[in-house]
Amino acid sequence: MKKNLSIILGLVVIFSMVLSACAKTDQPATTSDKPFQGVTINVMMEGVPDTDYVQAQLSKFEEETGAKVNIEVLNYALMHEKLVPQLTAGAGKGSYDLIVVDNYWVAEFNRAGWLMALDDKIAASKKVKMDVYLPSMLEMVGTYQGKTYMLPFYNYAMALVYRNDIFTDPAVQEAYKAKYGKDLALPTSIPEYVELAKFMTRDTNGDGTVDVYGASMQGLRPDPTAMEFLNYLYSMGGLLYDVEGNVVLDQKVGVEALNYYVDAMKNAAPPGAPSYGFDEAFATVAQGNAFSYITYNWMVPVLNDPEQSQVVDKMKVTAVPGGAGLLGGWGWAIPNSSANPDAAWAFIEWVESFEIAKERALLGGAPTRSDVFQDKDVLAKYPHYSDVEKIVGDSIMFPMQSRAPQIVEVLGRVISETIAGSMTSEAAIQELITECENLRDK
Amino acid sequence: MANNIFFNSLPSHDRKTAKRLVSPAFIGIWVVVLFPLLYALYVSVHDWILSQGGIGPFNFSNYPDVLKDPLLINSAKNTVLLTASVVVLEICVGFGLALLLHNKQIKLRNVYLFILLIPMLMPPITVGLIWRLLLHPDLGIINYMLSLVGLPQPTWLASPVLAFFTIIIVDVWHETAFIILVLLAGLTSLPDEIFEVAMIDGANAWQKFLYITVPLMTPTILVATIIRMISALKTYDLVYILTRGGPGISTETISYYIYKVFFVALDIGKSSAMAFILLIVIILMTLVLMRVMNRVEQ
Repeated sequence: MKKNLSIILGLVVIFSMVLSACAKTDQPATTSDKPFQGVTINVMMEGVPDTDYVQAQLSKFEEETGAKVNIEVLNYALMHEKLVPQLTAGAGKGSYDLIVVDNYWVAEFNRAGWLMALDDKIAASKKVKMDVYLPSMLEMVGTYQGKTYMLPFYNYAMALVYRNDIFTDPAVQEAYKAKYGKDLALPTSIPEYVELAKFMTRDTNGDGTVDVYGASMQGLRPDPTAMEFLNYLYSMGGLLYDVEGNVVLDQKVGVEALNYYVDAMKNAAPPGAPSYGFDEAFATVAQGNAFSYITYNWMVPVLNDPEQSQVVDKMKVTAVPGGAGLLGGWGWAIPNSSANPDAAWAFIEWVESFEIAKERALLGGAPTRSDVFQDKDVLAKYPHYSDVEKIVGDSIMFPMQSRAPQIVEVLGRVISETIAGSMTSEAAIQELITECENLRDK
Repeated sequence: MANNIFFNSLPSHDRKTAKRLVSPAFIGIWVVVLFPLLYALYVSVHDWILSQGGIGPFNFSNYPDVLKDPLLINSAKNTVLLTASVVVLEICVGFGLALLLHNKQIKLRNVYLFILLIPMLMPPITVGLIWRLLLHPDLGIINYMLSLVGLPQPTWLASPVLAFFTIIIVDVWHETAFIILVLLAGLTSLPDEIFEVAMIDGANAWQKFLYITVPLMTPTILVATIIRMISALKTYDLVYILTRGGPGISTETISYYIYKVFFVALDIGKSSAMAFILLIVIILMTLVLMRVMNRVEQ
């Protein structure tokens, strides 16, 4: 009986092996069609318009490869603290297969050895071309110390967004000429901008209270105010560090830039602006209560969306007065803790291909590739992208320092203290210089 | 465990069995509590910046260093002021409302109680986000209502003093429900006979309150104070959502500062030292209050 059972069991095993071997002969067609069938790619991203556009495109990648892309969308403030513990996990043990890296984190993540070098994958790839990216983007969220760790995803170069209907209003132009004895023109420096913003802060309906502010501003600590102030500093010729990482912030220039920033905050911005984050400052503009806003260049399509804005087709974008605003951007990266680096790389190849990047730009995305910026369909829909390409090229990035989040924290604190009146601008800049020196990579 | 009334009331044979049965849970809790505490203590006397590799060399100077940190001292001052303000206000308001809800002549008491408890059911992050919208100087409903009756419309979170005051108000709105619940439970358990005797003796409402309710409620009030004080000393969520410690450093609390040293600076050593100091302060303050409570009870 036992013997018979063993024979039957043996036959069953052999039969099932033959069957599975036969089945395998049919498999390659499926796996070559959908190489990542059954694989889930976990991605962490920020809740911004470009993430929405990627989500809208996802189904194509999933159909092509069979992979499921699971995007976890987080508020910016929560991303760093959630990413770091995952990045410190051992190889293949992290929760995220693919991440997007803000330019503030590039040096920190790379010095810690958390990101995978992509040079070999790029060299082997038939799809990825690095020379199509704007050099400023590649320098910021592409390479680090000679190796490529990221592919630029989207830019957030800051620019001056302003109400063209107010700017071209003959009554406003007349009033400006009567007050200053010169024609109303776009400001070419920060002092001119602050003067214009103060002029534009007006009571337009005659009820005795100001209803349009010259500048919508974001004084909330740490990154909203730090990012905004850097536009003032850079455009007035100041810098925190040079390319070698030495502190080069000039006390005089820093104090002057901070004084103009505080002047605008107190005399041209809404009274609540010292506590405003991005959402409140954006709402002020979208409600039609501000003449201008130094913000991300890609806010123009958002402000032209009737569902989100009451100033549709009234906004224009130009470079930050003085010409050198803050450049920001995000890059796609594969952490060393990624459990599915090959699937993650396939996703990067797809999402950064010309067709997909162009489609994203047409949805309102912020390009990083020159061929997308110069594409005729993109320019037909967004003629201002030729200006934006120049803005992205001319803007200055946040210093490539591994303790950049702490530098932002210090910057945000001293600016906020100066606005609150608990610190003079001289003391604020002196503390900033000291802390930049303490925190720099040595 | 040995002093527990429940255990002492058991015969010695049952007492041993009860102790054996409870011991796994007891050991489990101590492992869960003690291990993180000891690990935090170990980390707090070492150099360890997460982005610069693993745990570094022994460094006891983390403790003197953080105690000299002017930002930690500022946040400690803010925390003490905030804790004192919210605890006093919440006990006063909570006791007043608990007395009203205890009054059997008031109709629909349970409906009022339910409404008053709603804030307690909400997470602090949600409370912060809701209030941030309500307090928006131009687009918020609070300033809109004030404008309707011709009152000035403050910039609630934009000036240092007002922002601190705003955090106190929002915290009182959120946390008073807890005090109401605890004190109402205390009031309900008071014996009716004493009040009846006092009434026969001709005591008026004020005398009953002052000479009966308050002394009998003192232990309950102290327990509520201890619990609320401990949680107020750890205030973090509201500050994070409403002000991020600003304007300037006017609303930075100690827990929020420790969070930044940990998650922004990734300085695990110093942030653990700060957290340990906070723990010791909370334990000491709790011991003092418990001693006061024991004296009151005696």
